[in-house]
Order: sequence, then structure tokens, then C-alpha cells
Amino acid sequence: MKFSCGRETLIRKLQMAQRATDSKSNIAVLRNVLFMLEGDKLDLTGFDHRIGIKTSLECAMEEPGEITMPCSLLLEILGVMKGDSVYFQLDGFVMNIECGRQRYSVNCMSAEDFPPFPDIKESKSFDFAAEMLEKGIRQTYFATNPDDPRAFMGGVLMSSKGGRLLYVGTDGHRLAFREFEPGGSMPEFDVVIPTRTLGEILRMISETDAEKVEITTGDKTISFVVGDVFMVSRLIEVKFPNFTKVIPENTEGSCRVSRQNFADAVRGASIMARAKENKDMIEINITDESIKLFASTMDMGSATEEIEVVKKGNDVRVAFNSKYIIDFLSVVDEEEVIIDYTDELKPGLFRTDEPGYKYVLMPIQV
Amino acid sequence: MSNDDRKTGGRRAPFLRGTPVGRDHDREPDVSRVIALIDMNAFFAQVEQICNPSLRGKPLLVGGDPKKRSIVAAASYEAKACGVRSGMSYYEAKKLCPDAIAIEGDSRKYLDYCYRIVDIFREFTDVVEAFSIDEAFLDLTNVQRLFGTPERICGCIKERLVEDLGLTCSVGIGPNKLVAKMASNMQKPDGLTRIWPEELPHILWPFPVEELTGVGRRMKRRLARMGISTIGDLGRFDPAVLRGQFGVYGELLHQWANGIDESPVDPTCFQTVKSVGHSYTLPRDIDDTETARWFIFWLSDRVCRRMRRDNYVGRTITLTVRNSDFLSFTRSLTLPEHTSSVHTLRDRAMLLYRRNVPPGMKVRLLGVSFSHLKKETPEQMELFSNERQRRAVDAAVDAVKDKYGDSAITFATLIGRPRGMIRRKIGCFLTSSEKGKSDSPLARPPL
Repeated sequence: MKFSCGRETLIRKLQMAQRATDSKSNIAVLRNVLFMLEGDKLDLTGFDHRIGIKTSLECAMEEPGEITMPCSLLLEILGVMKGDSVYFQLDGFVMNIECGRQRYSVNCMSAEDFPPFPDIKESKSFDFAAEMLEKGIRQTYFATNPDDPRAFMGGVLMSSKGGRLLYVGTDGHRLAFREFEPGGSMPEFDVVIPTRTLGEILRMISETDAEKVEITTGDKTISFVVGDVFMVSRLIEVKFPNFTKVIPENTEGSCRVSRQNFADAVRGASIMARAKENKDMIEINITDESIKLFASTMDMGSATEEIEVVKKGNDVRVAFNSKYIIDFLSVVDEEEVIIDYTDELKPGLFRTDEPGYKYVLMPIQV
Repeated sequence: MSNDDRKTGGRRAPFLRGTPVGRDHDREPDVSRVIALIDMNAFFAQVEQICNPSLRGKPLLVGGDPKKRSIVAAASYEAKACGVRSGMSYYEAKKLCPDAIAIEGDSRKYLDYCYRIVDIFREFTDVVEAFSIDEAFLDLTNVQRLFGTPERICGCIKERLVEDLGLTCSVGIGPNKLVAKMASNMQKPDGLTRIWPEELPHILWPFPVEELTGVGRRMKRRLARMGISTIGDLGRFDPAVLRGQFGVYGELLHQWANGIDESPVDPTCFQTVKSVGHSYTLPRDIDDTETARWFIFWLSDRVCRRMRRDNYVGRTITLTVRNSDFLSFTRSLTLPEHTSSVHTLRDRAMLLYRRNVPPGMKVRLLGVSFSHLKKETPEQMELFSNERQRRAVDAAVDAVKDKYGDSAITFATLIGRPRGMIRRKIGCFLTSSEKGKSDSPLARPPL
């Protein structure tokens, strides 16, 4: 295996593949990236059994071959090299790397030990507008909790049924729900995608500026093609609970506020809600005249913020986790947000004028 | 003084070495603390004599049931004069003092007095640590400007105890807890002794080493082999050798023998409730799950009501069972979240019962308790859980009980009576055969 390639490009592509390696794994080969050289294309693959990422770059080949190299070590070496072009030459299981007058040798492992990507059985393939995928993920995946033992909280439900496409993410305290009507013909499917996978997709979409994402999904595995990057991920095999029953339908009050003002007020008041036992709690008091936000911590002090509101229905005094509200306010783009509520023990519904997005938040019982 | 001491600066140095309290290690050692230990003299006996004037002035033994093989927990000074000591069996005590009156102690009475005593202490300082039911440490360091010298403060406390409660006590005052405790033992009953830091060796050192807190029978033997018989011997001994012999404890002993003790007076001992529970000795032994269920529901309801009233939530549920052979066992389980829900408690307690009580076992006593308690803090509610409904039910039940009394609302299961038992009035049962015998000892109301 002999080739030379641009240093900067290689670093960028390696960093992409590195995100699918497991730097803490006991199995050495899972810490490595697979190099496969054929023609003038070098494929870089990282795979930790949960996520696999394959990316490729142009290079000048002298002799084809395949090998795995420790990823973080290689990135460190490339980082200290000064030239634009790097020359690689494999000698047995030692890769010699040259750049100007810098010469490094790295011990490698056989490509045969590298695990293959899983096959996707009974698959359905379709193209997806990147924007719809990006927005759906961005507005739901933050509401999950991969650390919870309940498996369905570790990912986002993505479901296509009867021309509707749904994204649902929840951590048991809140639930983010996004609905699209994509039109065209989309096959029906129902999968729970791990939060980490979704984070990687968001990065890839933003890094590659792709407009289209090709998705292939089976029962246990899903794959994405974003630009020139291929990604494969295990699915969470769990039945998602009936989420429709926790989305409140007939609420007794509703109010409308400016998103910016509300966000400023919540961020402000939450300064005084940092004590551990308070759980970032702020109290929201909605009356005809205004929304008052109040937060206090015993040994620090208290804060009151008041903003204008347009309100229908009854008054309420209810406490929420301020972080959860800020999460919602940072993923919606509309100028105004609407809060639907019933009382201090029932869930609040946060939404905007765009009907596709709903954010259900359980209060904190004081 | 060793070289190390000189480096850290003369007077304070001895206090810096091997401070026994880990969490306070960065605190500036305070050489001018004033700590008092107040020890109620023959506490149980004094309380009994106050409550029953006919016992006053007579030798009195308080302990377990005198009809059984019990020991003396406290003896009045009249009995102590005959040589009776706490911890003796009644048999031994009666031999020494044949006239002594033996009665069974009543812990609730003593606890009640204990709280009344501590309330008096609290009028003088808020840093009060109950060391046992009849002893408490008071940190007087910061209240001297308010109330005067420690002797004056303790004099006032003694007066108040006699006037308000009729109790006498022995007071020891010293620069730390250890010395205060030793001082309180100097003069009994009704004493007040202050040991100044500079007179420590003079007063402390002549005493035999077993007088020092932390030296028991075995330690005394081991020290004797090293030629140490008095506290002074220990205090003058090379700490390095003591450390080699007894480890860290050896160094602590050396410090204690020199009157050094940095442990703070801990006022939090009153603030922590460790568990909330109820138990009940059944009117007759039972062996069917249905009746057990009745009592477990009934006990759970009372436990949770008390938890909610005092704003506690708990995580560990314990079931206590005693069978007809007086064999007791407890089984516990820990929940993922803190709660005070009666539904959770009774269901889990029943689960423990079904898992651990073999069919046919004759059960004599049942107890249910919550531990791992914390004060209820604002609770983030769950979307996928029926905890919300349960809390609403608990809150509604509490509201009804607050207004109309505890008997106004209960589980449907608890309407009527457990099988074979007749409910005479709230919280009181008779077995069917005892109907009409209202003075039956079995019909005692539960705690």
C-alpha cells in the first residue's frame, strides 16, 4: 500500500470517521480506522458496532491495499506535520508516513480484523430532503435521555404512515413532537434512531451542505448517504409508548408571547434557580396583564421577570424546569410562541403558529 | 515539643496533628472553645421519682420487665449508695440492696423529658448535641457575651432544670468535648466542674487509664503490658510507638490523654429522622395472607400519612415480621425514586410479605417502615407514569382527614374488620373470643 494525499483533506475526513470509533474500547481494532485503497480513491471507515461511518478522498495511488491504523494517534501525527502533502508507505504491519523531512512509523493492525458493516435486511430505500430531516431531528432529539434505562428514551421515533412523517423524542419529563406532510411517495416505516446517530447526521448535513439524504432502513439497521459520506447505525429495538395520550388536547387557558422576550426572561430568572434542590425551577404566573417569572434559591436570592402577554382563559401559577423551556425556545424559529395550560399539575403545551411542532412539558410539583 | 510542632508555630501545633474529624480538617483549630457536657444524674430513676412521688427518697431500679431476666438501666442515688450500678441484673442488684423497688422503664416518658431538657438548653445556645438520652454537649463559645461566663450559664441551666422539671444534673466544662465529658464525671450527683486547658495534666493525668473515653477492658490490658496504667503515662508516651502498636487509633489515644479533641458539637443530630414506621402486635397470631394484607394496608396508611405530614419522602421499604416463636426478621427493598405514596408502600410491603413469609407461618407482629428519608423537594413530574394521579389521591385523602379526622376516609379494604377480630374503636382490636372482656391486655391500643 503506497499513496500520497493532501494533509488537510485527510485530517478532515479522518475526523469524520473518528466519530464512529470507540476510543475507550478494549478491542484495539475498534479504536482504529480502516484504510482501503483502490484506484485513486481512499476509503476511510470507522465502526464501533453501533455506528459506522465511511468517507472517501482522492489520492495519488502507487500500490493498492488495506490496513487499519490507530485513529487518534494518526491525527496527532498529521497535526504536527508541516507540509501540504503526506506520503504513506506500508511495510508489513508498519506504516511509514513522510512529510517533507518528517518521518513517522506507526504500528498497524490487519484489515481482516475490522468488523464488517451489518447487512440491512428487508430494506426500504428512499430519498429525503435534507432540510426536512435536519429540522425534524433538531426539534426533537434534544428531548431524549440515552442514560435512562427505559430504551425508548434513548432515541427519536421516526415514523411514516399515511403520508405523514412523525418525529417524537421524550425523556419522560417532556416530549417533542414534529410532524411533516412530505407529499410524494414515501414508504411506511417505524423506527427508533439512537440520539447519538441523530447528532452525527446533523453534523454531516451541516458539514457537507447536502440537499438530499438517501435513507435505507431495515428492522435492526438504518443507513444514510449524506454527500460522499455513508453512515450505518443500529436501531433501538423497542416499542415506542403511546405518545398521543400525553399530548394535551383541550386545555383551559392559552397565552401568546414574543419568543425573544420570553427567552430573555427565562434565561434571566434562571440565574437564581441554580441550586441543586431546586432543579432549575422557575415559577410562571400567567394573568391577564402579564407573565411573571419567579425563581429563588435559599442562600442566593431571588429574581422576578415580567413580560407582556396576550391571554385567553383562566389564570395559572405553575412551575417548570427553566432548562427545558430554553431548549424549546432555541429550536423554534417563529417570532411568537404559544403556551397552552390547564393547571399546575397538568402538562403544558408549548408551540408556535406552525402547526407541525408540539412540545409537551410536565410541571414541577412544588 | 517535636521539631514538627515548632515549625507550625508553638501553641497551636498539638491541635493540628491527626485531627480526628476528616471533614473539618481545613478549619482553623480553635483553642478557645468552651464546651459543656450536661449529664442528667440517674436520669430514668429521677424521672420516675418525679412522676410518682411515692418513689422519692427510696432506692429505685429502672430497667426491663422485673419479672423477666432483665438488667438495671438506671438506679437512683439511694440504690447506688448500696453499690448498685447500671448494667447489673436485677438479681445482683436485689442482693446488694434488698429494699430496692424495681420498675419497668417507659422510654416514651424519658424521651419526652429529654426533649423538654433540650428545649431549655436551646434557650442558651443553638449548638446542642444530644450525646445520649441523658447527656448533651453544648457549645458555649459564642454565647458568653450574651449570658456571661460558662459557669454562670451552666448555673442558670441547673437552676432552670430544678425549677421547671425538678431534675438535677452534673455539668462538666472544658475546652473540648473530651475534657467536658471527663469534667462532668468529677462530681456526681449535682456537680459543676470546669477544667482549664492549663490544668489538664494536673487533673487528668493521675486517673487510671480506663477512665479515658475510648479505653475499654481490652485496651487497658494491652496498655498495661506497655507499662501504661494512668492517663498521664499514656499522655507522656511516645506517640510514634503508640502509632506503631495501635495504628491511627494509638495517635488519637495519645491526643486524648493530652486533652486534645477537635470534634465539633454537632447540632444536626436533632434534624435527621432516619425512618418512619409503625408496627403492631396482632391480637392473635395469624397465618392467612388476607388478614396480613388488612394490617399491612392499615399500617402503610398510617406511615404515609405521617410522612406527608412531616414532608418526608423515602426510598427504602422495610417489612418486619415476628412469628409465634418470637423470631423476628426484616426484609427491605429500595425504590428507584423517593416517594410517600401509600399505594407504593402497601403494594411493595405486600410483595415483601408474599415473598418472605412462608404459607402457614404464625405471625405475631407486623411492621412497615420507610427509610432513606429526605425532605420533600419540588418534584419534576413524569409524563409516562400514574404517580400524578396517586399524588392527587393522597392529597385529597389528606385534606379529608385534616378536616374530618383520620377515620373519615380509608381504603375500602379497611372498612369492616380483619377476619376473626372485632374492631372496638379506632385503632383497637379484640379477637372474637375476647368480646366483652374490655380490660383484656391484648386490646391495648397501638402506639
